[in-house]
Amino acid sequence: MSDNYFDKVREEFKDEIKNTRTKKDAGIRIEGQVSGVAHNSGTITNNYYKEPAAADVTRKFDDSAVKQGRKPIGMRQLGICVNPSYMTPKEYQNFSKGIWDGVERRKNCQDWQAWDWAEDHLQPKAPNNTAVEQPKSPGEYNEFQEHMLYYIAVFSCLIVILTWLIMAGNFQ
Amino acid sequence: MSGYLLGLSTVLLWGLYNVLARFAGFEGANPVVFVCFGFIVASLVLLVVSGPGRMSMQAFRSPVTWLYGVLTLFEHIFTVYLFIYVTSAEGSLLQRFGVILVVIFAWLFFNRRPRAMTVAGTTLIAAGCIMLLGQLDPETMKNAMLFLLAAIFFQVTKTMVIEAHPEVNVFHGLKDRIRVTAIISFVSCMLIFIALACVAAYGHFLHVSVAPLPSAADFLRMDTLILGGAFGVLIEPASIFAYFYAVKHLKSERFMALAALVPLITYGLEVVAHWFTSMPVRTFSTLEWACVAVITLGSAVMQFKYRKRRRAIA
Repeated sequence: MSDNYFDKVREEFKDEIKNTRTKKDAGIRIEGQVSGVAHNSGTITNNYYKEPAAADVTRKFDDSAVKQGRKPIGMRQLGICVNPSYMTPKEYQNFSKGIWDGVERRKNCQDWQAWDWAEDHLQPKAPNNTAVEQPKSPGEYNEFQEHMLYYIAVFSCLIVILTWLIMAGNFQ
Repeated sequence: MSGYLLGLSTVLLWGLYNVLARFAGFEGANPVVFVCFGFIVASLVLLVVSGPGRMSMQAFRSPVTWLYGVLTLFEHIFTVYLFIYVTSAEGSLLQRFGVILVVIFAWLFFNRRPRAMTVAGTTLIAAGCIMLLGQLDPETMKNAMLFLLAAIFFQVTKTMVIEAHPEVNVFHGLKDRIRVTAIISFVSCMLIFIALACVAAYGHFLHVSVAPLPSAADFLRMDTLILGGAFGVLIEPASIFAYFYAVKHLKSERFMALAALVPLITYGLEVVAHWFTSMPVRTFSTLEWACVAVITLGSAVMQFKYRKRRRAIA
């Protein structure tokens, strides 16, 4: 359920994720449980852009990740779509139930060492992995990979066409 | 105005493709080799035109892309086979059967109940196609039906794949779309080419017949490659460009209404081709002209609902 839900949230907020990363100066319309406009500078200028009440209450004084023995790995950016593996147990619970949509709206909030909820044990990830792992938006791959594939395709076509023609010429 | 010109150019290029495919079949070219070589050449041209950029990996790593590409290729292959038995104008008319299947499958699988105009249009198309099939020579009709059904099956499956996986069609920039199209063609052609070339080589070296798959001799026939090259350089890239621009300017419903003219344009081009080549052209009887009119009208009527709804919204 959570994976599906996360996929849905991720799809819904994909522009926002991309814009937060590229830091382009553009407001993004957020639709869903709450709606409003988030600015990439990190300041929220719209009163509608609020945490759902239920999630707000349960996420206060959240030390559940510390109790698991996880360490903080850095600060979350405001408005980011949090990967479930970096959530605290309380956050993950709210997220799974659909109370919280996975978007960070609190200022100065910590990210935690990755946790595999499916297997329920600590992942051997480096604690210096400070950046929140952001899902790739469609078509977003390494430029080198894209170019490499392009040139492989072009040269494969060229080689096949030329070889084919040469063989056909010899066959005649 | 430029939108309509582009739409007409696309329709003209599709007609040209039909005539060229018929000519290839008439000249004894193997349809698989013709289509495969044509698409590889077209991929190269489109890749060079679009240049490197994003979306290539996205398209390449998607299994839907591979499936879509292979289905497209098979659709083209069976279309060329169909043109061996019927003229390109007839084949183009008979392919309208696919529209009926698309409507039925959309109802069955996507729960989209057809509107009155769609039902009227499909009924006209069905009536026209059945009347036209009745006019075909019984000897050729059996083979023609077989290849027609195969071509339609792949056409409909392809349409359903797009419908079920809309991410295939979400690329916005024109160059991105062209690049993705080229990658799709490249992937599917290479897949089919490698598989069939291995079979042909196996048959050649072990002196085993690989029929009905293409043999080594089929693969290395120069005139097939020349025709395939002409399709890949002159027709396919231009038609893809014109199609994308036309759909952008005209919107798909107007473009589809224009596309109803493909059989008529194909017939005209076939007559022109007859003057320069030994390819026979079939002179339509009055009844066959009635079939053409009914099918074209049915195709146009199917698009009418969209225009009407648009006006209502406006």
